[in-house]
Amino acid sequence: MNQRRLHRSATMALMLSAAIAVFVSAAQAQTVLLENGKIIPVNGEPIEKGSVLIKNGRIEAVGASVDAPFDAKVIDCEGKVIFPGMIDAHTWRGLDVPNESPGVTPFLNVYDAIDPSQLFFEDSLRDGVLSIHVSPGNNTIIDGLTRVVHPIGLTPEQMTTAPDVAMKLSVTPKTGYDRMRQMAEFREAFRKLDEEMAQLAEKKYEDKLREDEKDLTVPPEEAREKGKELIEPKDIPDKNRNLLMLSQGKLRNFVYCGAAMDVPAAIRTAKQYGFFDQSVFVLGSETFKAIDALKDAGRPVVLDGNLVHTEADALTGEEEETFVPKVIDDAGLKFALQRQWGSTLGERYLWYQAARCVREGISRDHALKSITLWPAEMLGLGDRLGSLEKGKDANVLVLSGDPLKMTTWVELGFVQGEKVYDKAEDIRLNRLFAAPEDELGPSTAPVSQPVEEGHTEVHQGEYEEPETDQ
Amino acid sequence: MRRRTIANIIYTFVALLATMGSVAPAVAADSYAIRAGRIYTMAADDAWYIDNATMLVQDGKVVAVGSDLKLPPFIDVIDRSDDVIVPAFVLAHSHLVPQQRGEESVGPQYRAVDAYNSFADYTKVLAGGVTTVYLSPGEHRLVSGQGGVVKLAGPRSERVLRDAIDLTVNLGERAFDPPNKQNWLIPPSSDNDIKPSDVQRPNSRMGQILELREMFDWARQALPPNDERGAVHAELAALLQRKVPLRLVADRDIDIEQGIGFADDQKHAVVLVGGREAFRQAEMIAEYRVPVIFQFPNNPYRLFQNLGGNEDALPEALTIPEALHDVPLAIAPPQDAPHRDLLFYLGALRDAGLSERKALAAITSDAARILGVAERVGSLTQGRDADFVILGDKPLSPTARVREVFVGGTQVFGQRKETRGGLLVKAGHVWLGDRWVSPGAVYVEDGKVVSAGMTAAAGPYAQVIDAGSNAYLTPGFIDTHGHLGLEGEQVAAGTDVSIGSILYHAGPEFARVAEAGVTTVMTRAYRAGNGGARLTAVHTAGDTPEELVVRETAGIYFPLRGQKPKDAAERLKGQLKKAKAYDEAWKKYAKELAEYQSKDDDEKKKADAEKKEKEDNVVVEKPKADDITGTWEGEVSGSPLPEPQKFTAKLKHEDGKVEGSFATFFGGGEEIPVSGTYKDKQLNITLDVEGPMGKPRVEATVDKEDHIVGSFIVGRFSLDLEADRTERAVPTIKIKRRRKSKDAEGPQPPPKDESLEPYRELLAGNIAMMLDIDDDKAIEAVLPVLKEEYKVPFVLINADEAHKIKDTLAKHDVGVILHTAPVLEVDKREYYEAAELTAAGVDVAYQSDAEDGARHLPLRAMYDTRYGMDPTAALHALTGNAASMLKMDDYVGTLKRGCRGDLLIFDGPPLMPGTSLQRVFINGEEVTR
Repeated sequence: MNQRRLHRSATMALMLSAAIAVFVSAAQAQTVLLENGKIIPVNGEPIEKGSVLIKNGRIEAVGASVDAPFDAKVIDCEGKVIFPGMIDAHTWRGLDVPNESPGVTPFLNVYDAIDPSQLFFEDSLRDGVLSIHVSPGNNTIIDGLTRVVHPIGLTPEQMTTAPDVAMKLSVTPKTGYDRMRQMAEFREAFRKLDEEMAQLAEKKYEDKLREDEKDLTVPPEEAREKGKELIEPKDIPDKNRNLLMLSQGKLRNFVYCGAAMDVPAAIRTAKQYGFFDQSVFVLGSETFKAIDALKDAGRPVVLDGNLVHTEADALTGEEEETFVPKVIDDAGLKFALQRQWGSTLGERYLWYQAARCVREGISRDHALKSITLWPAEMLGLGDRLGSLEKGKDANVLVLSGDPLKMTTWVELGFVQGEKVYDKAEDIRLNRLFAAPEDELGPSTAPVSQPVEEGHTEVHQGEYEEPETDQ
Repeated sequence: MRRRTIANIIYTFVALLATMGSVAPAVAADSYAIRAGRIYTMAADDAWYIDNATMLVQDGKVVAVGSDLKLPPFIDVIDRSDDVIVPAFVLAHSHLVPQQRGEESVGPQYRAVDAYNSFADYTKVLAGGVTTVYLSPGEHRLVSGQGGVVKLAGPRSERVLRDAIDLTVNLGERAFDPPNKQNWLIPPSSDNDIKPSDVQRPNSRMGQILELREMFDWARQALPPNDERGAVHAELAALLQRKVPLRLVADRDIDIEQGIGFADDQKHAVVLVGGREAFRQAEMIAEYRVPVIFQFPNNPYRLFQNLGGNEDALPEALTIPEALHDVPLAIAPPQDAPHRDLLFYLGALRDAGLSERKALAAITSDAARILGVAERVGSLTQGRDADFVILGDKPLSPTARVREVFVGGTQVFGQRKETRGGLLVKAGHVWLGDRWVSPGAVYVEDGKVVSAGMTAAAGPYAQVIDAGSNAYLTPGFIDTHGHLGLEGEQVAAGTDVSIGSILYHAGPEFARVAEAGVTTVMTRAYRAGNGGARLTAVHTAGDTPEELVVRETAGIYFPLRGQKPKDAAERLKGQLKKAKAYDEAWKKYAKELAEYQSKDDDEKKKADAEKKEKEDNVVVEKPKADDITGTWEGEVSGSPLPEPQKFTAKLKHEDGKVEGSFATFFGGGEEIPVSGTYKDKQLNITLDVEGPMGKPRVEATVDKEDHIVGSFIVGRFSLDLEADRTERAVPTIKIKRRRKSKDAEGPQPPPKDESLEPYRELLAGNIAMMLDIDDDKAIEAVLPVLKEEYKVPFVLINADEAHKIKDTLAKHDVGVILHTAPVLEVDKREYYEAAELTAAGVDVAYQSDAEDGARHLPLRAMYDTRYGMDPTAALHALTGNAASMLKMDDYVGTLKRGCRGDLLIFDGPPLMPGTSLQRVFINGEEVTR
């Protein structure tokens, strides 16, 4: 979606955010019992008929029979499926523009650019994606900090699930750059960091000497060495704080590798500058060719929304298709799926992506984890998100059927225990699916509608002003 | 004759095994030996190439190369004895990675290896034999960065041989006017404000050395804190510290001089790239011993570019003066040309005056030395990487093609099998069938000669056999009269029997003949019929009947032996007359048939035109209020029909008359024309079809609208009929016109007589008649019959008294097939037929009158040369003469385009004592010996 379109839809989005506001205010953090549903907890065996108790924003209990307090609001989920909220492991959507113009901007933070009124969030909510890792785009070198948000709230604060989760980097050249320049910029950024930190240390040591009224004539090498310990967090300039944390291996990082040749470079760079142990590689579809290097690295990966890589043989011209997640899964790597945007097909839905994986031979367990638990773990939120377990955030979906089935709808959505989505109250969906009045009566959401067709229509790239019948 | 002997079966089996053995073995990377006609090791000593050499490869490295290597037992040996092995090519300068996109005029921080994509498909470059490549960071900035050396194949983690090996300095116009440099100061603030972009040097030759000198000096000093040019400074300082060589990219003499001078000042080694005007600075380059990597001045893809009136245009040819012959040289393609043409540039280096060794070194060992990777690649000596290229020919030969490429002992490129195609044989002397060329070459593809002469154009993946300058190459020999393939079967067979049609397999006797160099035998039944016998040209090797049989009807053997002159002439005349009559009957038929067909075509065209006209002028008839017109569908039923039959009638009614068609069981569903009347609701129509009981009729009444009821009457049977009108529109009636039987119409072919069929070919001049005739008077009697009356090609065979009329024969160009015995006794005089006839100018050829006895044909020719026959005439008799006499010279016996690729390679002049036949090819395939 380009920027212009974003702006055009922004007006409308503001209008609609009123509707979301209604959800938010109506929702109250209360004790909820989801009973009689089929529970797919992701980290364990499904429970054919069971209940989930939500209390104080967390999952209190999951099981075949759960004792509910008297004040619990009981929701009968007979015939429904209870599933953890899905997680979008990596997207720039939700920001006004994906990247800044300069390539090395480690001091930036997506917090400043998240636009809560974007329809993207409403769509995510409807599609059951309850955690979104908003990150700068791939057109960068060293970009800023990312954030995990839930698609509900009027301000970035309200939306935040976890702040400053990771740093975004890209080995693939940014627009106007080539690989030589990209790598030179990497080297330069870290060289500069070292240089400036050394200068800071020198200054701190000299300050200390001055304070102690000692002789100031120390060789700079000595000053730089001894001054290191004197640096306090407050002394570090904002410009360098994030990069320093990165180089000290204290900051999770998402490194974009668009092509296979970028994978060895990314691994080399990450190891050289000390952030490899916190790395998650964001892969383009061609990178499966570097599977040996990826396997050796053993780091989790985020896959491209385009799951199939097509390439013509140089000599015969024959096209060969590779289903990328299968290659990654066979290598034993943990992976997260992304949504494919700009497509009118089902690639826009995480469950569809996961369903394709199952069709191509990946186990159902791995496919489900790739949209829930694994992305949570990659983001360092494995203890909070990604499965239905006691103590985790109550990000829960009530689905009309199996999560990997095309005809399944999200019926209810809970974020941190609050009901934030109810299909019956989804104004837009209801308007779209309103049956002709003379046949079925006003504003019923008929089950018999051709779901797939209608569903696709809702999400077709362009958002048109809904027709009003004045 | 069709029986297969056990020996035959065994032979076939053995032959099959032999073919399987020649298939290339699976190439394993760990340990194997490879044998080649020549291996260019590029070793520093005199053994820079070794003939008939074997190379031992282990774990991707060369273990040993030599002509008499002791190989470990059970080692795989790859046989490339016809091929040449050279070290894989080293490209000393390339633009394989896109130039860096930095803005800095001096950008030492860029490393070309960063842009190397080990996942890319380099097949096209590898196909040119290039496996090691220097990567240039760019040629567009004064200092564009650091180069590196990589391999294009092999394990990805081991591809980079050397990184950051030099600093590229580009002098001259290419580096002038760099863009202004943007400074991103982030974050901007009151004390860190955005500055306007910097203007950079150089804009002229004055600026370039100044800028270089300043930057180098600056890099040697410590950097003030917070200088935004930190990256440049740090990198440059490190490079100067390491004293990396400068890679000076310059074409103009002034730039070359400035650059070498600057490097000398700074005490840096220098490598010159480009060097179009290096010849003007040859002394300086030689004095400083600067290695030069010449860039080929022309892009082969864009040769035809105008230089216009520019007097300063750089020289177009690669010029390498004598003074430079001692410095290490290499060659590289121009900036926008493909990287695979090193073999082509090799020729340019040779043109520029380099020795063959120096030229080859420029793309192998010297190039590797300049890049500092000589310990790994560029030569094939002990311990080097087993990176080599298998060429079809010596590298400087224009027919040398890259056939296989190995990196680290593993094949990374192999030509596609299906395009492998042809066979190019080169020899010091080639007998084209009628003359010698020295040296010469023959190219055979799909079993046929494509070109032959001093040189021959070869297909891209031709197998090249260089037989050497002492070798003699001839077409395969022809036995003009034998019985090969009959396996002793003595039945008589006339001209109606084709030996070719019963030949399905080449037995061991074929192989014996083939191995002796006789590749074609004109075979016939032992005993001829009254009208003679048919001769079939067969090959002495071949896997299929198509390969074995060159020509099924290749001649007519006609015996007139022992006949009196008059009788001989009469008999021949009688036979030819009969044949002529037969031939004419067929010609007449062919002519009539052609006329008839064209007439038929004319009529058809006319009919089509009429039809079209009709259609064009068609008036759509509106359905009238008519009871009958339209399409009717109904049933006929009743005894004796076993069950009701459906019918469809299309009827047209006008003024009481009804016409149309009727399709039913009667007549197999075809539309049968009908005609009849309609009056007072009564329909009477008759089907226009002959039956044993007369024409069927329909009598029916329109009882209500769109419905008739009545009867279908055939003879005495009356069947019930009922039908409904389904369509009121005027129907289109398609009545298949019944054509009369084809036999009765048009010209008729005359009865076919297989025994006279070959004569038609003879009369057409496509084949020759082989007259077995002894008496000289008889020969004189038949000459006019053949020469003037019937004008057919012919030769004489076993003509005992031919020598008596040898001048007449020479005058009339009558060829003679020599007796099987070299010495004849006629009228108590002994004479050598071959010598005597050839001396008189009579063309002769040889026969064996045997099966595998044909293997002694060359021996027989040698015998004749002992007794006065010109060896060239003997060779002629075995090849070109034999073929042209028998009208076979478009197929065999010569090396004209289109002839079968039957070749013999001798190690000396053929038919000479001491010369032996080395190799035999039939249909372009080597006969395994």
